[in-house]
Amino acid sequence: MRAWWQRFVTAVQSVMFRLRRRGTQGSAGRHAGSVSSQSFGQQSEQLAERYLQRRGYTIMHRNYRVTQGEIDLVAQDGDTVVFVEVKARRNSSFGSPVLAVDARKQQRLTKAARHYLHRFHLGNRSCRFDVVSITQDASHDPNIELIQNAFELGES
Amino acid sequence: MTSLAAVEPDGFFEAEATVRGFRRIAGIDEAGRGPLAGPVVAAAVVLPRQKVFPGLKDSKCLSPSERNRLFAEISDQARDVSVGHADAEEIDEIGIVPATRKAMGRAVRGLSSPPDYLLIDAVPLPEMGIAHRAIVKGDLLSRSIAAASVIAKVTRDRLMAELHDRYPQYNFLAHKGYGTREHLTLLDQFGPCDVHRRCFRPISEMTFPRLDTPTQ
Repeated sequence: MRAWWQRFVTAVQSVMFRLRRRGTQGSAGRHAGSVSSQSFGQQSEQLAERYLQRRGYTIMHRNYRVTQGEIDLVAQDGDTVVFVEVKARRNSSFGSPVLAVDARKQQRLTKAARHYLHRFHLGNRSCRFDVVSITQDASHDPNIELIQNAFELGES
Repeated sequence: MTSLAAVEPDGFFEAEATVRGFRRIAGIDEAGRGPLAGPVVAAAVVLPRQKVFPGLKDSKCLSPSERNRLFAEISDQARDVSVGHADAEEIDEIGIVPATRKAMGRAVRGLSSPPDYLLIDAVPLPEMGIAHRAIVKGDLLSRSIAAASVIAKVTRDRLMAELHDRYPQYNFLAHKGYGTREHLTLLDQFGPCDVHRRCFRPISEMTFPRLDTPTQ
């Protein structure tokens, strides 16, 4: 017979972790309801994360945001720090989502990456930028593509 | 004026309420308002009239073993005990003070039958629609509130011990989410997890140095 406080503790934990909590957007709002009410972007980010884990990456940080930029995922691949941009599209006819990472976005990524490396004292590690591109045509499961070293750490 | 540390909680406010005709008096207190992580937990305790718990003081003045002993005794001997909580996500959404009041409301509603009078530590709760008295430093002055503070603190500590299993890197077992030097160092090293309160500094400065929320 479990003590009453044990039942409370278990109940609190099941409430906390029942919904996939706020790991994705970084907003403080509550996500009511089930996974299906998540936005397409959030689902894509989760999919990308799981894919990278299957590829052997260790996820270190989600949604790293600073004033000058933001990074969707920071991960570790062996000894390398990888800054991952997740690009999701519903329709493949506009070209691969990789092309959507334009110069301005690259700059923002670079700035955020420098901030991250400095903040977590990783300046001596090698790093690179990857892009995970997710294409979701309604008719089939999403295509996932990983482009490693999609661009070089810029000169900002 | 005697220092408040020397005062032990007694049944004065309970007796006063009894004289005024109230029959079910609940003491309410919370634990975990200050930490950077984890929920805030509130407890509501209805004590038997005249019952004295030897050694009962406010939870902060008790050793862990004394607290555990009193927790068992109060759970066993009280007429009614209930706990409520508000988790970190709620705290981020509405703020720590409203979240604490919500937790207290949940604790009261969890009692097996509704009390007719509340003795609350420091926080008035008019929205409950129950006659009550909010007493600053109530956990030092009222036996029922002191009992609630023990229940809340021990329950929360046990909850943090379980969260330690899920997030061992922060050592919640030792500091229960409070901002000790150890916790701050580990927080710096690993970044925050789902049970950290993002509206609390230093977490708000770590991940979201500007607090506006970008939309997708």
